Amino acid sequence: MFLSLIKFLRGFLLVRLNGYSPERFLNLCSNHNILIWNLTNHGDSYEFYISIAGYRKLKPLLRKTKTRVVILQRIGFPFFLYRYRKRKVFFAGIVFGLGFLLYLTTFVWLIDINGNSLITDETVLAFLEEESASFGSRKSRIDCSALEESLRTKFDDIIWASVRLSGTKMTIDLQENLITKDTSEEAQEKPEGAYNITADKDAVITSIITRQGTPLVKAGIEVKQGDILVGSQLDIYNDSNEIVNHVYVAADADIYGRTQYTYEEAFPMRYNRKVRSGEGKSAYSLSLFSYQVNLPTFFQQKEPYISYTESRQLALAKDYYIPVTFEKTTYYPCKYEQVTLSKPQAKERAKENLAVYLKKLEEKGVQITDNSVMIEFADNQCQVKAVITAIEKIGKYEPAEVKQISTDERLTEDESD
Amino acid sequence: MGKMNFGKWKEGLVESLELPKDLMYGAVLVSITGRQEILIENYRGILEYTQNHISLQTKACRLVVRGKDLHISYYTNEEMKITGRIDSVLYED
Repeated sequence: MFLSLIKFLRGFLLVRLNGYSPERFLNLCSNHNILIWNLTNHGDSYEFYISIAGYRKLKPLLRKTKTRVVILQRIGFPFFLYRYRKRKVFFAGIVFGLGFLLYLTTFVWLIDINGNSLITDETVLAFLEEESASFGSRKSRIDCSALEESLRTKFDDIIWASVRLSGTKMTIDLQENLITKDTSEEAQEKPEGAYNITADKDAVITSIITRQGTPLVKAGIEVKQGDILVGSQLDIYNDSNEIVNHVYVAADADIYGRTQYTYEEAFPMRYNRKVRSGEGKSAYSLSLFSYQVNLPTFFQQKEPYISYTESRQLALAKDYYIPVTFEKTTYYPCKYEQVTLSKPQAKERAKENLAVYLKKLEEKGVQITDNSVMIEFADNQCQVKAVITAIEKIGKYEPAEVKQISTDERLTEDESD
Repeated sequence: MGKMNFGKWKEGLVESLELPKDLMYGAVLVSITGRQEILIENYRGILEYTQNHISLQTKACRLVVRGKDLHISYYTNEEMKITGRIDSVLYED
């Protein structure tokens, strides 16, 4: 197969041999390493195939053996080119086709975004569109490092970005800030000037470590939202224990408090669900840029059905994607099935949902110490109530009220702190 | 007489050392597949070729293949492949 392809590309001839001593000619051919194949005898003449290069070497052998050859047929790519040499448009078409293909490879046809979990692909793609670096934009116009830079500045959550172009594929690797809340708090931290720390939610203080400022609460004290936890005001006493002056600082402390979350959920015990029944049928479609061509299908899918669509972008070679997408949609007939959850099943589901909620809380940096769950069944409904006790960092910065005290007044404060 | 002795001696050597005989004697190798294909290696040249009859020269003897519609698929300096309907393979001195 492969050999015959090479033979075809290099071109070969079908030749008829006549003459005085053909056997001698054949022996000379093999001695001169001229390959001959499919040799057949037709009475006093022979026919065989010979490569173009071999044919060019025949002349002295023919003279020596007093034989003559006649070309019967020319086969192969070189003769094909020669035969159609006058069809200029045809060759122009081949050249144009190849050129067009090369031209298309100077654009981006596939964008691969990795590492994003909070930011959706769509958001990134929309951003790329704004930056005019989306599908179908010139590769030469895309500045990868500038794009990385702007990705980082546009999205605060992206702490690292890498943009690579290989072939017609643009690969964007992102690293997101997974502990968003904590770091945003930290970023918000260290304000300059006079700031108090106030409670951002009701809690019972479990620990407080003050680095700067006057602590106004102790561990075990219950605070309401808005209460000042660490004051910005520092009192300066003189030797006779009188306040001489106030200094205002930005309060800084680690305050942990016990907080409570309530979780409520209700879901029906009986509901309808789509269930696949029977074999699926597939429909195919092809989309080129934004045009979609549906290949004819020979069936009509009745409602209700479940459909799955697989789409696949065609590539010339690895990473050389072209703007042609092949889609396969499989329709499965289905029927509605009523599902009735038994009480243990419902409990199981309630627990799963709660676990998801707890996990989300923990991701926010909340430490869960206790949760009490109540599951009730009423009116075909499963009602879940949970009270979750957690320990978390509380406190936010608020500008403090600055009171200037004239040194003359020398207000004496109470003895208590 | 001396040559005969040498031939015997060589034969004994080749036998005892288990050397490949096609190399040592320049012997012809013939492999036949069914009735329709025959591959001949180590031949010297073509003596005669017609549709029913191919005669080849080898180092020690002549090899004649008889059959119908014989044709040579390819041949090089070392080997030749003949296809067709083979009736007989004959060694001639």
